[in-house]
Amino acid sequence: MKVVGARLPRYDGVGHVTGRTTYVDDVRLPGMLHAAALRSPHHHARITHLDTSAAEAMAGVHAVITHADVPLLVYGHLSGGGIPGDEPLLAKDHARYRGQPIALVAADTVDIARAACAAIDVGYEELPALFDVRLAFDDDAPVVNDAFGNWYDQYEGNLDVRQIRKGDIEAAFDAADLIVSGVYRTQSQEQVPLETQVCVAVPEPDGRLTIHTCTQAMYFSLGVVCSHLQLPMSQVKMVGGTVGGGFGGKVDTASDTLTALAAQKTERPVKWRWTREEEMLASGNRGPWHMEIIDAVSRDGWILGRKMLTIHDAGAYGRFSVYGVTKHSFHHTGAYTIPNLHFDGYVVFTNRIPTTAMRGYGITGLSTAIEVHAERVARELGMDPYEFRLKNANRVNDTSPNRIPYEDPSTVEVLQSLASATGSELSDDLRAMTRDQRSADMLPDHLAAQIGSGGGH
Amino acid sequence: MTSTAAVSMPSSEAEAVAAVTEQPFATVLAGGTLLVPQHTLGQVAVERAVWLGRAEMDGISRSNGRMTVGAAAPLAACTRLDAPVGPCAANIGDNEVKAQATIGGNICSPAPYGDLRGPLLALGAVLRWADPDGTHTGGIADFAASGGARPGMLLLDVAFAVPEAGSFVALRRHHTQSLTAMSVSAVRGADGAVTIAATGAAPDACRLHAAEAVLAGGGSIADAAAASVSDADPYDDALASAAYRSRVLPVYVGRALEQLGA
Amino acid sequence: MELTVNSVSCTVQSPPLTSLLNVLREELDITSPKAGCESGGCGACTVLVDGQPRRSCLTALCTVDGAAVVTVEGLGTPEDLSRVQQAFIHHYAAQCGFCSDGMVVAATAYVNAGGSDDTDAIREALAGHFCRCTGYVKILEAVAAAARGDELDIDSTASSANNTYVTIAGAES
Ligand SMILES: Cc1cc2nc3c(=O)[nH]c(=O)nc-3n(C[C@H](O)[C@H](O)[C@H](O)COP(=O)(O)OP(=O)(O)OC[C@H]3O[C@@H](n4cnc5c(N)ncnc54)[C@H](O)[C@@H]3O)c2cc1C
Ligand code: FES
Ligand code: FES
Repeated sequence: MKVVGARLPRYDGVGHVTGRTTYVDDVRLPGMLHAAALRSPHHHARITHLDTSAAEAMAGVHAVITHADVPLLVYGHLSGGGIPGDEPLLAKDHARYRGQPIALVAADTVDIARAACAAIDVGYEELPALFDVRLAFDDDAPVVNDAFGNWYDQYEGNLDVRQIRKGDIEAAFDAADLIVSGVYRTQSQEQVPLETQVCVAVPEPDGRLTIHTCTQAMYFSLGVVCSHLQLPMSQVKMVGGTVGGGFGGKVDTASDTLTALAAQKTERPVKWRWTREEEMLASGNRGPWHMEIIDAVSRDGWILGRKMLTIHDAGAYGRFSVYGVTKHSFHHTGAYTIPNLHFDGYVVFTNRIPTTAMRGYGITGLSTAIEVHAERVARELGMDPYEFRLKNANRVNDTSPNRIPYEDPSTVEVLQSLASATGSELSDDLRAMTRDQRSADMLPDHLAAQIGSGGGH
Repeated sequence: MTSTAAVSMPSSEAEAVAAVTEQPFATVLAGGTLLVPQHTLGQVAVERAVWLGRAEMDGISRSNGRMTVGAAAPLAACTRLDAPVGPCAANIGDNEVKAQATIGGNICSPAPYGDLRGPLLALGAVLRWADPDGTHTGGIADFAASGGARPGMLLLDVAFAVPEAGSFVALRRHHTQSLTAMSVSAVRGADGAVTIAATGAAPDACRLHAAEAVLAGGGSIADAAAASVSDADPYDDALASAAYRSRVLPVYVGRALEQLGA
Repeated sequence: MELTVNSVSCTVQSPPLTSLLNVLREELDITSPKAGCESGGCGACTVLVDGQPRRSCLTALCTVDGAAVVTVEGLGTPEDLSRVQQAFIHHYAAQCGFCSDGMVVAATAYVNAGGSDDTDAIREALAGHFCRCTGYVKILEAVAAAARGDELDIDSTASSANNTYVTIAGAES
């Protein structure tokens, strides 16, 4: 084999260690303007007026962009997949989170652009803010999202929740020797790429736009830019691929569209680089999750059924959250097979930064909940946690919550390696286990029905 | 905002005083580890600045049992001083920041910066500063009451009696760039009396008089630690909650006193 | 004001309180020091000032008038990589590369000062330098290798400034 196991040179290694790699912020163009954003200082406010004339009159200011300049103001990250858009590119009547952009200024220097932002006359009427997903359903909760209210209500067309129903959940709970429940809440987390959000947009003489982008998702971002700007894709050329870290946070097209608009309006190249403070304050982060798990367990250590309620804090707008909760639902049994399931997952809106992808989108917090819960179940059973996990660990042709047979699950080997790496003694029985399709002791009655027909496709 | 402010570079303390206090009042630039980024990001307006790097204000000297540290002494040099100052300086930033930042800049930086105000308060340090009204001396609290850092004021040096013993304990930082949520400094003077000060127990560094009184009255470390909360004014910020600060303070007072051998 | 940057003397026009980072990037178009935070917190802007590692974002221009500044471009070229640069390539210590400019400069200062391959000592020397990609293990290995002076079989074959391909001995094993 030439590749697997070989030490391959990185094509960009030499550029990286000699300062020759050109990141977006390193792009130099004659006549380039610099941008800065006016952002909402409030978590939730009505915008009562917005007057940019003083800023526009300042020496060195070339354009001030507001909601009125955006050809298609509201567009959703999943609009391409039929999910209605809910997020305006620039706030119009309401600011729904602290840090939400309201205007972008393009000026000769970033200092002038910042001073011009400060000169924009904007009036706010502060509104009560919602931060706790558990209060979102109350009658008197502040209403966050213009398109959906306080939770997304269009799963399968008209459902409030992403549902999974598999097997016979009531029978599983009737048969249980033990019921173990737990509530798990994970916090939000910023991706903190070393390179902050940055874009250079260049109007070309033929009317097209060139966008130097730090996006992690080139064609997705092309679609977002072209939708907001109402341009055919042939009019926009994206130059990217050199990203100073993203970790999911650069899937959102956070800076490209506004920079492109500024370049169009000024007919000059424009650069917009966020400060570290903006990156921390206003760029999409990993969302917080509220997860409630109730397991029906047999005395000999089988998970017969699981009821789960998940409330995902999406922040102020949907972005990818509808997809995130769907992915979460497909994985809510983790690395274990559970034949009877009842899952409800909500996308709830709060006045926090809209959340987005981050390494293991929808799954990372879930894994924490599932593994802590597994540990608790094993403890309540008085069973070795390895034995409990290895018994229930996915085998070939066990099926996922969304009924996909696993072709190549590695849980058994991973657990065995973990035991040996941490010096935990496994019994001969556990050491002899494999991923092979369940049979004999590993195929109790309650699992027989869920075995897939073989082959995932 | 990157202003076009002129910067003068005096070559003695006297020149520095003159340069800072003449109209329009100048902002002092020491290491610049706080001022330069604030200036770049448009968070402070600077009309005129005076850089201390050539003013020969970075000396550290000891005579008659007193230590005098010039305001422009880098933190890297201060790490070599005895506890509580040395370990506190070592606990600030990383090596590159310590090489550049100064003790004067630290004393002048608002909370949550200014860690050294804790040890200096415990030591009863005397600060010397100049403003248009002349040269003044006073403790950390007097300095704050006079207005602290402001254009037209130059902190010159800080002096303290070398203690019999000193100790410093701080909440562990996750990494060198984290700020310290709480620290406790304890000092035993030549007369045997123990003074204690904390950062992070109140919005600014504070003396823990009640704990000191317990020790002076022959009480135990545990009793002194328990008494320490009565001088605290715990607060919530991004580093720690008020509740956490209240819980941790007595623990750290206890540790600082154990270390001191009180 | 005068600066010698990577052995070239320059007269610079930026106002005296301008950060050295902005002087290098915006006036001199030397883009290797990165503006990761502009407030001293990440280390991506680190350069050598008279041989010592300094955060250029914390350094006012007037305080380095007349100094010799070295950025990572000045340490080695794709055709003539320095020992630390070779070690970073060999040990895959640069992933997205955004921290690498500052990291290589600081590691060079450490090695030049006679630093050892002791992991704790390297950790302390680089403590102010953030890397979000590598998890640091590869960086520690690279700096230790450079400190020891390990022989590394790196042969730069192509010479385009960006994206130079290198071969590493044993790559086809
Ligand atoms: C990465 C990093 C980590 C840090 N960690 C810590 C930490 O853990 N604890 C902590 O306390 N601080 C920390 N700081 C903050 C700060 O760098 C230090 O407090 C430092 O000591 C400031 O000193 P300086 O000489 O750089 O001050 P400067 O930036 O030069 O000045 C700071 C302020 O003090 C004024 N000033 C400075 N010297 C004088 C003087 N002699 N007379 C009058 N006014 C003066 C200036 O005008 C300015 O307002 C950190 C900073 C960075 C960048
Ligand atoms: S940019 Fe200078 S330390 Fe981050
Ligand atoms: S390689 Fe990406 S931050 Fe270090």
